[in-house]
Amino acid sequence: MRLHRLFGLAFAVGVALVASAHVGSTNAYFEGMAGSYSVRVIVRMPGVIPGLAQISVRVAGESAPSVVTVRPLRWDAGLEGAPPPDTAQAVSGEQGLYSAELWLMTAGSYSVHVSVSGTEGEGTVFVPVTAVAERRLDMNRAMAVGLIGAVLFLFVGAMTVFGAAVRESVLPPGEQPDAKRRRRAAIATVLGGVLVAAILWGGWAWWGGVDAAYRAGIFRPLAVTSAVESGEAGPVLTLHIDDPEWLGRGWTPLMPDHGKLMHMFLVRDDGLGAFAHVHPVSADSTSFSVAFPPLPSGSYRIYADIVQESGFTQTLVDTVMVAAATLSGSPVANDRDPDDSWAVLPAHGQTAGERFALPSGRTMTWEAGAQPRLDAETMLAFRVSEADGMPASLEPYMGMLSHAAVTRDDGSVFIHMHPAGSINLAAQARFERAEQGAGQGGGSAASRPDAAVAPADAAASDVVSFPFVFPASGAYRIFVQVKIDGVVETAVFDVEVPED
Amino acid sequence: MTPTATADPLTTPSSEPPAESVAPPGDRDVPWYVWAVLFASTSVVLGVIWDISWHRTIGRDTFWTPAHMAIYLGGAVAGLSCGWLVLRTTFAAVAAADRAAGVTFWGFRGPLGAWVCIWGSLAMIVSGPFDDWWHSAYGLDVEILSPPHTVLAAGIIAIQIGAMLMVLSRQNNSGGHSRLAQHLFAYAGGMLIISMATLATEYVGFANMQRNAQFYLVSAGVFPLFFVGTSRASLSRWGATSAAAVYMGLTIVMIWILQLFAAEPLLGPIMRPVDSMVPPAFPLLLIVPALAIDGLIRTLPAQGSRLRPWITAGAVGVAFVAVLLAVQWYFSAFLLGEGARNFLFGADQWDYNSVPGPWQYEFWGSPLRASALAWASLIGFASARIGLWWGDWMSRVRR
Repeated sequence: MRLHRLFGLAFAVGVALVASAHVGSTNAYFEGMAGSYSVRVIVRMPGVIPGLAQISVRVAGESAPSVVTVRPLRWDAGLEGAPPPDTAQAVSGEQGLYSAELWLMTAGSYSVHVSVSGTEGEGTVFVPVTAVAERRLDMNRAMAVGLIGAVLFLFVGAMTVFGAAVRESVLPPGEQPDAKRRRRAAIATVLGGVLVAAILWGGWAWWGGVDAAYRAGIFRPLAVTSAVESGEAGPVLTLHIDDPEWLGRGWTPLMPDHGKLMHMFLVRDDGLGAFAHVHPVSADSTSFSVAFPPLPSGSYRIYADIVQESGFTQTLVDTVMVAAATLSGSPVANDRDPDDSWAVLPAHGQTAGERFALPSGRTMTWEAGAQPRLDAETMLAFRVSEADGMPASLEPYMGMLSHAAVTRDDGSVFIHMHPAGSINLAAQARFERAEQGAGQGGGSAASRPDAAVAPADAAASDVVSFPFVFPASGAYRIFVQVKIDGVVETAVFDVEVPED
Repeated sequence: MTPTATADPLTTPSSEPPAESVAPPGDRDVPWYVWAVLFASTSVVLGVIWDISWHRTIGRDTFWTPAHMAIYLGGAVAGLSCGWLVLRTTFAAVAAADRAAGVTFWGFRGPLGAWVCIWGSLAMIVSGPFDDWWHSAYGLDVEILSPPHTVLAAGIIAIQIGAMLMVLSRQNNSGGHSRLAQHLFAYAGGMLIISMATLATEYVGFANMQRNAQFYLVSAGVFPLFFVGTSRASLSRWGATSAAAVYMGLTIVMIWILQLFAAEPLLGPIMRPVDSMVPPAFPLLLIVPALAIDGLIRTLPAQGSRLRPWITAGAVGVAFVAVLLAVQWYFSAFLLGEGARNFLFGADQWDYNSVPGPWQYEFWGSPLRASALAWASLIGFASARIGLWWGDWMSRVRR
């Protein structure tokens, strides 16, 4: 059992991964403008707090080396309370790539303030991140064996010291211990061993207490319950936040992202063959409801993104069973948010490679480059063509050229992205507002929620691309949504990410 | 001397000179290794105080910070010097007298204090990878007391006790002739008191804590043991007082020195302006209760009925709590007032990440009750009784 504590807890780590904001990874990816510089920023979160976040900044098309600095600012301290900037180091052999490490000392909403200085002047951008404890590292076997061996060595050494102290230390130099003294030394050795063993046991219990407290503190999204029931205007999905922490009001209020308090994604369990992106409205601060879209009955995974005024984002997770009787017994809902969208799709593994035929006759093509690799910077790029092969003209969908969701087949990863990356744009705007005038370049106008489209994408509006890092190996499904002629269309692509 | 048939040839007493031929050590022949372990003990203590200040001021560190180097230098000096001493004592032909003045450990010979120092150095080494793994598993621990830090502290304390034992054997073998050994013992004891006070900082260190029950309960558990042990083992009349003076003096010197160095936080969030190294809290006025302990230990007969030590321990427990209450009750109020917010006392200097507020000038915790003082006296009694056992044994250490 004790060794189990040293070696095990893979299960706890697995649970933690499932339970993180942006399910499966709190890493942040951003692509946009820092002043005149087109940058791609990836923040790999430490998983423990306090911990070291790894920052990489890629400056596109730089004509001369830039100076890239990064600073972590906590939502309630701002730049004024941030430490001095750290200069990111150029990565040798990679033109325009810089890397740095930043300590995130407390849990909560942070933003990494990235500044680029070069021939084009200075530009800055805020990349919001959510710092939470996500995992507890297992102790590898070599470390555990080494530690146990060292403790045993010290234990026997301490017993020997106790024995030597009683046997000889009080004798004048040169005098030999008699039998009585040797006997007492033997007793002292044993008693010393008992004492040290008791101390070790106390330390072990202490460690266990610290470990239990830490695991209890690993971030879990707010607990929710959900249901789909018949309503007068059609089937309604309700989601209720019934977490005592939420009811305790220990949180800053929710703020809208793209004008919605909640972005909810529904993925049908069976083959991931049905998908919806809907926007429940709040009846009070704990209950949200939305008309259930016309999708097949079955079990659905729910991922609901919310963001608080501090910039802290989290994805609420639940599963809901939608009974056929509930759907058949209800009228079709008409009163929907115009930005709600849904699609019935081929089952996982049934897609035709890198081309997906959209219902309108258009085609979305995954411009796959190299095979996606685990924990490596990847650009997911998709081109949309008209039926005649001409480039399609994409329209903004809730302010962005596209929305994508990447999920692992078992649901342990679910990440909602835009061409600007995985960051929450409302959180980014919040940090920009709070630090107005703090830098030159005016932040990333491209990524503001109210911006029409990102300039980087405007030049080629039939292509959308998403910076991404696959956080775990396995089978993934990528949902890509675009809006053309006022209609939202959803494509899916399946990919296997191998073990590294 | 009766050699045994099973004796190790390296340690066989037949090659040892008779005890009578070993001249009592005087002031002038303190060997290098005693100075080495005292240096090690000091280096570790200063490193720890420096490191805590570093974390409260700058925050960010690496393995190579000067504070860490001071700690590890102390561990290395203690381990290497005592390791060399043990090898020399065990194997060198010229070290027959030293072999006679050592104790046997797994077939090797060396002074008991050297073995304790070696154990301490090894414990410090073990704490390194353990602490590193701890940071990876649970995040950087920004606290003094964590399991891996406790392993490090055990190693540090072992080095300090080892230094005390090495000085003690000289004091006890000198027949009272070496005043230097008495001074060095007080100094080594002072280093240990600093370590214990540092470990207990989160419970007793700040003036804001010094009117609540926890302060008296923890103080009564920690300090009487070490003061009674030091007092009983010292040949000086003022063993505990001298050790307390060393603790207070060195802590105050560190307060003064650290404040001289400009520094800025390199971690966030930074909640208050900090432009120089944050010093440790002003030391407890332990010299006063230590004086009372020395007085009681010298006044109350050590020998007599079996109850004598228990009575002495009881008197020490009550006296320690009463005297500490008398001096620290008012002094803590002074430290929270404007009169202490200066270079001399270094008060009201806080970590870069603490949010300023009236809490800085308030007493923390629930008010002190008489029952807490009674419990503290009882704990002080137990602590003093263990101190008497320890001190009695130390007063007889010869090797």
